[in-house]
Amino acid sequence: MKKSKIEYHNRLIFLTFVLIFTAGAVGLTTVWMRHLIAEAASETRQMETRLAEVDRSLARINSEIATGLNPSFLQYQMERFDLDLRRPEEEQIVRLRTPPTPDSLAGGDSPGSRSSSGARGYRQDFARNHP
Amino acid sequence: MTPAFASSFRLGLVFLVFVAGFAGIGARLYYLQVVASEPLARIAESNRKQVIVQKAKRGNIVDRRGNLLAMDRTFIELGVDPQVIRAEDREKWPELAAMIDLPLTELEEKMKTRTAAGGSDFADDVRLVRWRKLHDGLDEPTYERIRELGIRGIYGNRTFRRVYPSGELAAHVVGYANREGRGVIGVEHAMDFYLRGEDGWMESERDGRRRELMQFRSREVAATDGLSIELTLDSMVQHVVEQELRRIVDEFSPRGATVVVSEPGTGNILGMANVPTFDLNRYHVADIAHQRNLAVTDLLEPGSTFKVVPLAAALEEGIIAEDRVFDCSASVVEYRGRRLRLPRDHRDFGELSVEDIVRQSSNRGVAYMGLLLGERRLHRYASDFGFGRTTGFPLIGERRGVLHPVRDWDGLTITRMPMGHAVSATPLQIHFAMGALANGGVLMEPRIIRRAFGEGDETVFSLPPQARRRVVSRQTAERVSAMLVLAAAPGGTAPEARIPGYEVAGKTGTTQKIVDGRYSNRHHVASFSGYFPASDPKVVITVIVDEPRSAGPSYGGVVAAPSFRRIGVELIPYLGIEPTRPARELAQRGGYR
Repeated sequence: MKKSKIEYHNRLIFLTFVLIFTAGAVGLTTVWMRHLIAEAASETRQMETRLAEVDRSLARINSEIATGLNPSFLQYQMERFDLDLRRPEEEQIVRLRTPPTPDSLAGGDSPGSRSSSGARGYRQDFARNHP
Repeated sequence: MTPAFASSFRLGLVFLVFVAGFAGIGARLYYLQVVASEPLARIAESNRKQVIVQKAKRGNIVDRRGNLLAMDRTFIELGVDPQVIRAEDREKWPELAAMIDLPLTELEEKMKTRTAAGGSDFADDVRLVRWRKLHDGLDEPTYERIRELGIRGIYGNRTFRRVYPSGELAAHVVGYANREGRGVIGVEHAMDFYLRGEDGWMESERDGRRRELMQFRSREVAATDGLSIELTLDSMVQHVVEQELRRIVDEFSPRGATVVVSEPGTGNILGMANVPTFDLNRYHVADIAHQRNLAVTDLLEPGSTFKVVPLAAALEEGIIAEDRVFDCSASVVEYRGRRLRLPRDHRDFGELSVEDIVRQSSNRGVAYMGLLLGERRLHRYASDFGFGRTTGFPLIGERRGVLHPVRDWDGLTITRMPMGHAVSATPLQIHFAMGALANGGVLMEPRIIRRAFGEGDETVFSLPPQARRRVVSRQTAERVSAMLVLAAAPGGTAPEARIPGYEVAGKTGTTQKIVDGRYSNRHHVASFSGYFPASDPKVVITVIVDEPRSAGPSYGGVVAAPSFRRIGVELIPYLGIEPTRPARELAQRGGYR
């Protein structure tokens, strides 16, 4: 009878310790998982920061390109380097006739504009009347 | 093996300790969670929780070829915390001062000032200074170099700021957004709703150093960046126009000047500029008067450029033909039982055909046309050509001009309006009235915004060309065009507008300004509005110069027509406009002049 009581007490202590260890283990696991989540979040934030940096530098480069392509700036550079560039003269221009598109054959210009055939007809009339 | 002995007393003691411990914890929890829960929760929440606003990026504005005209860029606001600076960094201060373009003495003063007045009435009330601004617009590379110096206490905050890479280019059209990111004028204002996007936000927590703990982000609404806007404007055409305006300023020192270039078939505005103008990146120091887009805000009497209205109307109504002759020597005519005095011409004419009236820009000739049309028809055609109505230009500030109803006309209006008096219009109205003739009689709506697009160039919506109404028939428009070619030919009022190899159609205008209630002989507006090639128009160009100062007469043919020619000559190779006369003729003339 006494022996079984002692066994009962010992089992109770054992179970109490098991409970404490289990609770501790669950707690530690939770902390560890949170730590992993925090690490992942930190990595994500670093990536976000890097992405923002790339975005910023892209915007800066785009702005510099836009400034570099500004006609006034190009003209200034042309004069600065004495490039003496000139626009082409009419006799230097060779115009290539592109094949007609279905749209142009249908005479469907943009809204409100002359139709191709109308414009052509007028050109001929104009040439006749104003040689 | 004997089992371990555990007495009831010891067990009871352990049990009591546990119970007491848990009871204590329970009591504390009860206090924290029930008694003091609300204020404590508030304190804890305000310490941990934060709402981070994610600023949406404002969209770009690009021209029709994708060149950037407006964009967002980050700048750094650099400051110092004087409480944490170190003595050993002092030797780096001169380098820092040079980088931020600040005198060393001023930098030293800012670095050393650790306290400031506290703001209360007590004289000895001071507070610690934790932030003194050193520079508010540093770029990233400079900031990186400053960071490399490793001066403790120097740090920067990034802010988005609007930049305009082309500065003055198309200033009145592009407009600007202020420091708060709100569009104030131009496309920045008109399309503000689409450009500005929607800010995002997220709820998160922060640690003791006020750094965000991303793992505790609870709710997150991503920012939606603004849409980008593509204009019909072409930077190169705009540059040509602005270069010409600079030349006009150098040559004539006018009060103001406006040039508009558009495609007649679509109403696409390729270039629109005014002087005076301003630098978009320095809008805060620009005179407010210089920020007006004169092309739509300023009214002027169109003068002879208006003559195309009675001419086209009379041809459309079949009242006149090209060979009809009018006696332009008579100064008085009988009209509905009244004797009306006709306006004077700039020189004496005898009998003139309709073609000659256009070629010589005779005021009396067009007055006859007005009389033949009558008040109602003249008013209707003027209104149909867009006078007295807004054009539909989408940017802020457009005025509708003045076209009085017939009941308000006095006895002289019927003879004065045909020559462009008693009516006032914006340069854009004059331009699009001429554009209607270039477009076969169809008045178009000015189109400056082509489309809005998101990331990856995906079109969100586009604004197609809009025809407003047919004003006259195609045949009438072509007959008027043929006569307008005479005005820009030798013997016409604007031979200076001629471009070798191309038929130019156009009309000059020289308007006396009303000063102190009278037409002034010294204050003029010189203008030319025309298009080419006349047989198949590709561009319409209008040049208006307000109060040019020149040694000779300030006629439109002398002041504005040469600018038309120079702009046209620049645009021919750029837009690939084909000549209507053989290139051989051009070569003989020595090319474009």
